Amino acid sequence: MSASFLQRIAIRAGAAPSAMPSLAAKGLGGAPVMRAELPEEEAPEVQRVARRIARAAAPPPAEPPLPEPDEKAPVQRLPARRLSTDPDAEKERAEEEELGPLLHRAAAPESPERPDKEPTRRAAAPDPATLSPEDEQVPEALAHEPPPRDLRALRRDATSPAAPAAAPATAPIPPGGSDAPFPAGAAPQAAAETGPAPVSPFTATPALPPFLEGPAAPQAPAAERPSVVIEQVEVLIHEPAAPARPAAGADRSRLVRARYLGRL
Amino acid sequence: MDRQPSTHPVAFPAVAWRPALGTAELAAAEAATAAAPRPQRATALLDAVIERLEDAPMTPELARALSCGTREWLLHRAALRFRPDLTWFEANCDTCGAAYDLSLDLRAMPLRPAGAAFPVAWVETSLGRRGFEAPNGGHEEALAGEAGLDPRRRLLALCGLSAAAAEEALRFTEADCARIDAALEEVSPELGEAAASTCPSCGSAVAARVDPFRFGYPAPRGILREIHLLASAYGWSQEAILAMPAARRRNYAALIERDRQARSGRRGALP
Repeated sequence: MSASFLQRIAIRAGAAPSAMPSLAAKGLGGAPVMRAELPEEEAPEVQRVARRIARAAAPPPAEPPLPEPDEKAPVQRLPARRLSTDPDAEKERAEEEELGPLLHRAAAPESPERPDKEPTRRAAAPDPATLSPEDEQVPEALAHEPPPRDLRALRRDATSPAAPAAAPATAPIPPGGSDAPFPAGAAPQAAAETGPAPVSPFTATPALPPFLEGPAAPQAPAAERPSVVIEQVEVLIHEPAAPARPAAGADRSRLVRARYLGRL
Repeated sequence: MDRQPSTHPVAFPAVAWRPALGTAELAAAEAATAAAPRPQRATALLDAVIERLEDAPMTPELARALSCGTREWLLHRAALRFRPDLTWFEANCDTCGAAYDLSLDLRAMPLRPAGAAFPVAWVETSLGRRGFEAPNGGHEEALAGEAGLDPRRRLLALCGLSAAAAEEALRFTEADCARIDAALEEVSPELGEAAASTCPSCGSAVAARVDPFRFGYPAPRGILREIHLLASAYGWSQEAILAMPAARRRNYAALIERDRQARSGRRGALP
């Protein structure tokens, strides 16, 4: 930030141009007043279901780290809760929690050294050509069991392209920019780049998205690639019930079959 | 000194916030989204959310008299009252255009205290020793309303305490301007307003402004929607709804929505 003090005031007042972008709250996609989307309850039900299904099929975005002890389980429903102040998104999330059993996602292995403060690449997804089921983590209890063949096929089908990149440090720029008592490129930030550090007023520590690098990183090159696995996607199709009518013909035979199956 | 400084002499005053009622929330939301330049919106918003400042009742005039740094500090604090848990942000890399997310603690934004001489800085210029007051909200508003002028010299004209400040601002040399600029920076409080990082996609250095107007305040639409829900469900007036705490209004609205969804779900389940 090389603008002088008076120039910064002029920029804030709108009297001078600035090429610097502004941060927006994650999830809002800009200032609240800039949103032009329909509220969730105004959108058709079909669109909502389609969005949920699309989210389930898409690779999980970068989420802030969570301290739950069961996070290392290889297959579980994502416990991460994306920060959002959007009431529409909150409502949709609540609905999604109600439908929890329908959507299962595989959580990528959490990088143990991932700190909290750091920019993360958005929605980076793995390259399907480089994915291999052998690279994925397996629970200890299942370590010696081969995965079923149909599961392998599902995993390969459920990947999407993209390659991640390492993420660096973040630091609030102190007032005055490079001339201020806490220059952006000085010791605090340099320390942050060397590894995780406690968050201080002038530094934020780097972190990696959970699915970018895992414990298997030092192994073969293929193991360094991210992997996103959707173990199971179940879609609930809601059909209006058919009007009741007297059983006859095919219905009767259906009833017989149902009774037979019920006895089994 | 030909005139007294108009900038409030306390850099970080004691603040008494207005109660978190719907009236204050709606006033803040409307101020934040008004079709006005940012300084005017800042004045209106501070007037909407602050009740007293250093035991003086808050007024638009008092909001204008606060130094620019004081106003930014208060705007950030006001944003934290509305969205205290906000830590994740997003921006686009200005090099590659890719979106990136970053976690930032707004409470940890660096804050530079005011100089000992606040709110006045004395500078030796080519025209002699001149006094300048720390820029305040009134100066920002005046600057926002003018286009085409050199904003730095315009600020020197506004902040100069000399009777001939407007005329002298045009005569100062570039070295004078730089000295005055540095002196005002030294004497003024200031809150860090940007976050620097490295783009995780292309690796280039990125910086993004941290402007609470982009994320920190409620939108009128959401409040009006909740008023509509309560008014249509219970028959309460807008005044009565806005007189209740914002959190209670939100809870009522959530209950009404849940009931409506339950009813619509039952209807959908019928043959």
